[in-house]
Amino acid sequence: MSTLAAEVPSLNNLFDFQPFNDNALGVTWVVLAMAIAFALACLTMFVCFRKTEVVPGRAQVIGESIVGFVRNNIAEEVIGHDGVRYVPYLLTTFLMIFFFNFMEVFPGIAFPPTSKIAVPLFFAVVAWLVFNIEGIRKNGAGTYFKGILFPPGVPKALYILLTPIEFLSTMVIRPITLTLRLTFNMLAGHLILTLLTVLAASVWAASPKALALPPVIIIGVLLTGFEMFVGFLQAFIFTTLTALYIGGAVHPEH
Amino acid sequence: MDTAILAQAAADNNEGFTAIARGLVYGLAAIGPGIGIGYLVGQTVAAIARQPEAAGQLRTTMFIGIALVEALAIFGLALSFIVAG
Repeated sequence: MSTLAAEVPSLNNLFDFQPFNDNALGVTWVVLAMAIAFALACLTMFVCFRKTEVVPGRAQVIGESIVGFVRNNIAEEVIGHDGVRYVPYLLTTFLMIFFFNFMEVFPGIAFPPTSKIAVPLFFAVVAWLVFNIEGIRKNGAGTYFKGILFPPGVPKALYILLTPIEFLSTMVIRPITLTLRLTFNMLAGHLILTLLTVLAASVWAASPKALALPPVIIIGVLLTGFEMFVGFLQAFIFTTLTALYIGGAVHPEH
Repeated sequence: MDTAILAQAAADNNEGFTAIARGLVYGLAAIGPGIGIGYLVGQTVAAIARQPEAAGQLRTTMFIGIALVEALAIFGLALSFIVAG
């Protein structure tokens, strides 16, 4: 067992990347994965909407179902009818996070850029800015902050307790949970897939006819499929929560 | 037993204790969210069985609830990386 455990790379090796050939731009494996994900997202949208027709072709149906999913299941269902305004932003967030997560199982890359905390943090900061700015723009700064800090229907004395909690949960906890949820879901997924791959490789190295080999490989394949599902689910949850926060900011006291 | 000896033993086994602490931090943090998500999904399944036409809305609400509950377990996982010897 100790020989197996010794071959598992340490966490730092799994998540720290050095720039290729000490290049001046500092391009690392993560940047490469992000560039490929970005190119894939652009390519998907370009192929789907290159020639739009009234009777959609095969590619256009796929593209419309992606946009329709974000529009109907996220924007309109969570925000309401004026949620259509936010579809471009939500679609961008959803697609980029989905393709970043998808890099986890992409052949040849096998590293999700979203498991580096800077990437989800950026999305979370953008979401924070969007829901605050939209809230202030729709309701005015006074009404917006009054709705957050002094929720109606509460005895006045409770505000001493409630106002700091509400301020913290809206302004601080929301972006932090958005960041950590996405980061650690992808980090845990990447860890599990790496551990299983290393385990399969070391069992193979010990003896290719080992009885333990088929179960390990089957579990690895199944978990790869599961991680694809998790990547989609996390993108969906991130976008839904962003929409929820925007909805809460745009229409206070629902 | 003398506390000095205990402290010495603890210092010697610091690495092992750190490993145990990491496991415990995540394991304990996962109990509550585990129960919570089970209850949440169970109730949603019951609700969808009772009223299948509301399935879409229930599912979205369920995922939002899961995301909020799951955050606690994720904090546990984050803390287990932070715990150092």
